[in-house]
Amino acid sequence: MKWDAWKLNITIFCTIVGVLISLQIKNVSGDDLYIPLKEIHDYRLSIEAERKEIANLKEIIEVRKNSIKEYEKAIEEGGILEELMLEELKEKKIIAGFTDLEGPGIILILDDGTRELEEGEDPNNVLVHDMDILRLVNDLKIAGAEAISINGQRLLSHSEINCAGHTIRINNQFFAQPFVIKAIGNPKVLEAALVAPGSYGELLKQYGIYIKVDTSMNVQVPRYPEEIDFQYLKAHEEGD
Amino acid sequence: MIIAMIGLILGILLGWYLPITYPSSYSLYMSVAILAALDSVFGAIRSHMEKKFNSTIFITGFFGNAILAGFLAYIGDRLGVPLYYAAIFTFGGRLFQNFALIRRYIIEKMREK
Repeated sequence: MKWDAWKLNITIFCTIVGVLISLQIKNVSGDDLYIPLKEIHDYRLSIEAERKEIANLKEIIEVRKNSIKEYEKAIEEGGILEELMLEELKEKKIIAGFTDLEGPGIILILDDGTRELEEGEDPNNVLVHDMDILRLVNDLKIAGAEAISINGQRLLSHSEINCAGHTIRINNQFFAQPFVIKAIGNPKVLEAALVAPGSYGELLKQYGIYIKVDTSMNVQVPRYPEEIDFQYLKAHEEGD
Repeated sequence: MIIAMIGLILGILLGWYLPITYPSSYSLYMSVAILAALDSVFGAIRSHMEKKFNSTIFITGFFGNAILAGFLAYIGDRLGVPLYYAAIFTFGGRLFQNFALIRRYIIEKMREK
């Protein structure tokens, strides 16, 4: 084989083209993606959460099957179905908030601070605001409060806590200081959520707002007094 | 023709085991440049068969076309106009033209024998 200029050129440049092509193939196929450790961790967490949810759903199926069995049994025996229904209605009323409740919990009293203001200090620092109550209520919920009332108003899923001048509007009614928040739940956990160092309640105390937490073995939370009138809601029927 | 294939395979093997990478955002420009380079190689083979091969023209064409094609794709990306289509159509069309001519020459050669 004679090596003339043509052969030499073609070989060299075909090699270059080949290198480029293989680089491109390697690049496009994208085997080596950059994935940070955090992302892997996140994926693992979400997979775990999904698995837990599947287990939960299976449990729910089990429970439903059991209740169907109960109903069937009741039908066979006759008459007890009504009792069962009434019992369930009672349960649902407790969940929905149409029953007076009692149980161990805490009573939180919140009032404006009485300390002297410093020169040029914003008086808002020692006033109780709607945001403060929202934060505290949320802290209580995080700590596992099962029922909460503010000044005798039961807090439900749609209850608003809104600023209304020097008063606060809750469930469309206006309340002034002091605010008495009652919550049913594990008293120690609830108290800790409000007075622990670093909690929002502790911060309010540092600002000079009057905040007092009492645990009690028998806290009474009243029911939601009015009818709830839904305008947009409609029950979604399964299998539609 | 055969020597071109050998070179190509050699290059692919070489590139596969070389630890060179570039950002994947450049892969579009790279693909257009590869197309241009491939067209140059086919052009070289054709010109060899026509006995008009000139290595200076080949080498300048090889690099010039590849760089121009990649640059065109880049400019198109900046302007929001898919200019790399121009390179794809031009070089793709010429690739097939060159290949058709090469085929014709080879068949003629075989007939002469």
